[in-house]
Amino acid sequence: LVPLLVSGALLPAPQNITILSTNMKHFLVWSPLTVPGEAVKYSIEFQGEYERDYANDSWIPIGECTDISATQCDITEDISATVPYNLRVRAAQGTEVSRWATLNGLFNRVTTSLIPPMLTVMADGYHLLVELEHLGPAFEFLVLYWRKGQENQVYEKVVRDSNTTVHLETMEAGAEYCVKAQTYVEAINRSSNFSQVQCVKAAD
Amino acid sequence: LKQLHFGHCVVSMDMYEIRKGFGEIKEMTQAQDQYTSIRLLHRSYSLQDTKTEDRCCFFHYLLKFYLANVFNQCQANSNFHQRRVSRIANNFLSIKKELTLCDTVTTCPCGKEAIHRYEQILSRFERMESHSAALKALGELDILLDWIDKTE
Repeated sequence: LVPLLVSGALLPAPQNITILSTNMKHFLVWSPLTVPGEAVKYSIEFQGEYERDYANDSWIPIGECTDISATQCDITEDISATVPYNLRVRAAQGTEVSRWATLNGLFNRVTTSLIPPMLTVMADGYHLLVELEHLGPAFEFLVLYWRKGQENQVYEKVVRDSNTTVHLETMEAGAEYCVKAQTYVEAINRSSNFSQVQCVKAAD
Repeated sequence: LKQLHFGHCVVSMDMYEIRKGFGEIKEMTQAQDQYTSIRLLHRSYSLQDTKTEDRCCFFHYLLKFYLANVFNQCQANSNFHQRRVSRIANNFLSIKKELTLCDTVTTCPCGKEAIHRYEQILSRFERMESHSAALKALGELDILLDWIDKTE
């Protein structure tokens, strides 16, 4: 439902405000205002639990999300603690400003959706290697690997730096090895599901 | 995360977020400190040298001190500064909430030493003009973070 402005009426507040949070990246999203005349700009403010409890319920503007035309903005930088946050958006057209529209309910980053990581498994001669998706400093990876046919003997490796190729194992000639991985975010003490299994074969 | 063990209590601190936030305002904050001869977080009251049984309480006092007396006095600066202070403050609040949970199961006793050390800091703070004192305390956050890092 997109609000339509009747001329002379106050600029309506943005609607359908939601948070899209995946892998600890948080975006605030809302519906565009359809109003005749000048372009509509939007501004976001946030309020952590600290601001509510200790700083007179104050709100803090997000510089990068002030007077923007887009109807979404990356607020990750300011959702920087595992506490509930309040968020609000308002519209402006020329000198006219709408009411603030507040996100329905508080947002805590502990609820972010953790997606199984992308990985690339390689056999370099007899070396079992894996490359992991780079997701930022908040992420660790649990990598499980085993020799095909010996599923009861699974090995694991915790990877904190996903910038480099990881050497997992020196393989038996001609044998096939399989790998899967999941992410872990210590700040919220949660893990993703495991990725798809990928298998490669060692040189003969 | 840095994990602090106080008896049965384990409190985790996102040092990365806090140091990142502080690192971005440290220079401008310390540059505004007019009382360079005064130090609030004096080495003689350091957390790591506090008796183990008193550390939890002393640490709890320090968290409450920063939350109640320091951060809200330092909000007025630029939006850039305000957002960094908010990052630090909300992380402190998150830690304090964890510690408060521990406190309810009395694993955070307050002995004389903890109270004495905190009172030393508070009395120095209260002798200064409030905004300047808050600015100094904020500028000394790296001392506190180092204390925490050194606390086993």
